[in-house]
Amino acid sequence: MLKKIVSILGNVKLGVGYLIALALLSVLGSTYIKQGETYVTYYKEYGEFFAKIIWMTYLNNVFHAWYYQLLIVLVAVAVIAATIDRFPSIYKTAYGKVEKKMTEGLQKKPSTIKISTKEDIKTVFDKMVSFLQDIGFKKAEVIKENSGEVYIYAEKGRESRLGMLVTHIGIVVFLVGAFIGSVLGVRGQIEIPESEKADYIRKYREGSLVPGDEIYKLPFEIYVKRFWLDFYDSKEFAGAVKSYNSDIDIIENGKVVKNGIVKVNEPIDYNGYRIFQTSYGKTGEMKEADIVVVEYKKLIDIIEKSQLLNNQLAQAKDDQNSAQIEKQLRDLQRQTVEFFNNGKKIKYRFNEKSIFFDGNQLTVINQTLNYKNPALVQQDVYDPLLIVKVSYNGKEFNMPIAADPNVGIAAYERFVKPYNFPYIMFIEKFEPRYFTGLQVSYFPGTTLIWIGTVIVVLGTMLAFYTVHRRVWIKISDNGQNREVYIASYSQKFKESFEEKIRETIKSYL
Amino acid sequence: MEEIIVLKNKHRNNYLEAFIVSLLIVGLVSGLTALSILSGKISNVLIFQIAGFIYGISALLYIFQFFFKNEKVGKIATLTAFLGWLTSTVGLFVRGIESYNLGIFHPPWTNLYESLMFFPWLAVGLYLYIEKEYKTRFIGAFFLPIVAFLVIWGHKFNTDINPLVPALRSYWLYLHVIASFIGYAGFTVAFGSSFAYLIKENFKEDVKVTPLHIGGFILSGIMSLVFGYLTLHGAKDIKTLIFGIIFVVVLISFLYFATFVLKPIGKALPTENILSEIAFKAVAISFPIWTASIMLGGAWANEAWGSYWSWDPKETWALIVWLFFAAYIHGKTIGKWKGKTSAWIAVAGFIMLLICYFGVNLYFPGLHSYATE
Repeated sequence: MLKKIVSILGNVKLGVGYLIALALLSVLGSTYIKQGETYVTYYKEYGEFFAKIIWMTYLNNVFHAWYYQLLIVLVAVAVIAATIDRFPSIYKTAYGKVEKKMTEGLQKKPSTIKISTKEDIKTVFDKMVSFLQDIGFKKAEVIKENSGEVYIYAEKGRESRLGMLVTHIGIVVFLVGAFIGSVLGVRGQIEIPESEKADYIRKYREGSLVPGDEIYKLPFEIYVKRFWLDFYDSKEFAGAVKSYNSDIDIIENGKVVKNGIVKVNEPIDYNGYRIFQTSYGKTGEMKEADIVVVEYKKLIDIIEKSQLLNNQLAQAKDDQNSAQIEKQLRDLQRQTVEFFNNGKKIKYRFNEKSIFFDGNQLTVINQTLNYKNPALVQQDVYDPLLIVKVSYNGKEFNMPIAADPNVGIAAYERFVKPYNFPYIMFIEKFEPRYFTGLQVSYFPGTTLIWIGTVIVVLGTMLAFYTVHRRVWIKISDNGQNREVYIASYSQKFKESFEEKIRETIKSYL
Repeated sequence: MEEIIVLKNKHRNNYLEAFIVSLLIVGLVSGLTALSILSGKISNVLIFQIAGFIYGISALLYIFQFFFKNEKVGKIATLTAFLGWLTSTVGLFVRGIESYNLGIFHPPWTNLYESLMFFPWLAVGLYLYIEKEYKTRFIGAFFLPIVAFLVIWGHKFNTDINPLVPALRSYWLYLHVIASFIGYAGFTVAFGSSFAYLIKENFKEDVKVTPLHIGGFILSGIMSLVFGYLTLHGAKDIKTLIFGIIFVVVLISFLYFATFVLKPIGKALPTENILSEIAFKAVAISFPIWTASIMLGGAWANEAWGSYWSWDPKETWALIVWLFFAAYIHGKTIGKWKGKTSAWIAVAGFIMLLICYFGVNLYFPGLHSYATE
């Protein structure tokens, strides 16, 4: 009874049916119907009628639909049943007793080769041994009858028969791992700006790689110390991003328990959780900036001088005169560079709320990478601006610091000059502040996945890269001639094996 | 009296000869590679174009020898195919070195153009091996035209060498991609011989070719072209999806009618047993490698994409192909399927493979989308 049930469950036709059904259902989930979207998205794209159909037939999430899961379970059952049902007899054919002497039946088979030769029995025997070796056998058994008949039997590749068992075990191990992962697995992402931390991820909607509304709390915090980009060292492709990296701390109960750099293709593991580098972007702020401080009056002097010279140049009458003015302009340019080089340098860092300069405390109120259009920051278009609060002569006022001198001077004249603050500041150099997109996943059972798939690969290799083969040879002496019979059996690739035998024997007899 | 004898390696093939030949080939390939690189004028694209041209000549020779059974022409065809293969080899090396010189080294199998050069290279290598093993050139008459077409048509895509996106910079790129391409090559051979098997079967049964067959052949051929065009040039929406389904259906009917219309070819084909064995052998060789390729992809994804499996279209289609050929193997080994059933499953599996290769790269959005260009 049990045997019968097992044999029905493990029926090949049924199994093949499952496989093809799974294949066809997989087609549904992997074309243009985007998986794991919300109902509203389908409604907008396909209209109410089709959206309802998609929703009711689980076409929005084929791979997690009940019918898909059911089929996988059925496959697992079929694999187990088929193995129990069929393996014992396969084992018996491979390792059971086998007649080593060529039987009458084998001898009469149409595929059996029959050759008569005049050569003596010893020579024929030696030739047959070499022949067996040529077609890939490593050992042979010889039976010499008293009647003068000699039987040779060779076998190889018995282990190939185990391939089916090994493969099926691998499939089951794999499916168990996949089941554990699909039940207990968590996957989501979080964007963390540099020098900030987070202790949650936004979980992906089932069936998609897009975060939904659900939040999953992590048992630890991730603190992003630093984020940076690597570029290709190439003239032609300067600026092409090679990789990106986040230096992170994992904090549990207020203590740093792990530190490491997460790179693309190099995740970090912690307690079964895997942290991947998946994306990045700019927060729209400056991470740090070099600010140069100069005296407003001196700057204005230089500007006025240059305007004067430029005017003179425009009105210059002869070449000699204009060459002289041009030289003066060049000198002035050099002076300007020197002037800025000699200016006091101060540094702004995102984490620091104040900048100290000459005993003055400048409190940072606001800052941006592009005050005109913040959206352009993602395309590397910058117009940075920093606004600080200054206390000077008992008065408080806001001072804008820009990178563009024209903007800077205009802003100074409007907001700072009335307070007689003698210094003007410019942003010389700055670094954008990034956020890093980290994917965090927790998939118990992954080890089983690897063990299972490795077993499947080895099992299929065993099944297909080795072949179970047997050769029986009979040499008999009828006085005048020596009769040689060669029969063969090959579990698969019979045609090419028989062809090989026919080809090889030609060079012997 | 019974005794066991251990067969010792008394004589073995002459390795010296093989060694000298390989040495000559390696020397030739590296010499040509060095020449192209040092001259600075011969780009990899030019070399691939030459290879495509040589494959084209070889294809014509194979077709000629198929119909006229000319042994000499057959030998020249094989030699030309080998020459084309050597040229592709040089092309692949040159492309690799060029990318190195640009400071963005990557192996030459990272985008659609490169894969269309790399895949025929692998497939021709595999084919030449099968030709040697089975001593038959008939597959070449089907196979080399496809190769020549792929290599020449591939130049319609972007041939520039571009830096790899960060996610692709991984040693898994070598293993995963090579394994998949061997799989592709093997399944393609399985398709070729299964299709030939179906023709041979019709020839042997001496089925009557009716006007219905010829009409169906012409009609489905035209419809394949029309819907193929609509599918390939349509917007990425449901309408194109429906066109795609119709395309697959008419393509299968086209192949069905072709097995009747091409019946006369059956005369020149080897026996059905050999054809079905070649198909099975090709699947048997490719299947473990395909499995390994999916596994290696999973291992890579577990380092780059956040999980070993994401139901990305390419992953899913690779699984679909796997399922089809798993079904094929079961049907063939224990299912006692008739040869025709398993041959049709192999044909269907090949169409799935085509979708996996082109369809996913070009049309289905997903994580593998960098392979578009």
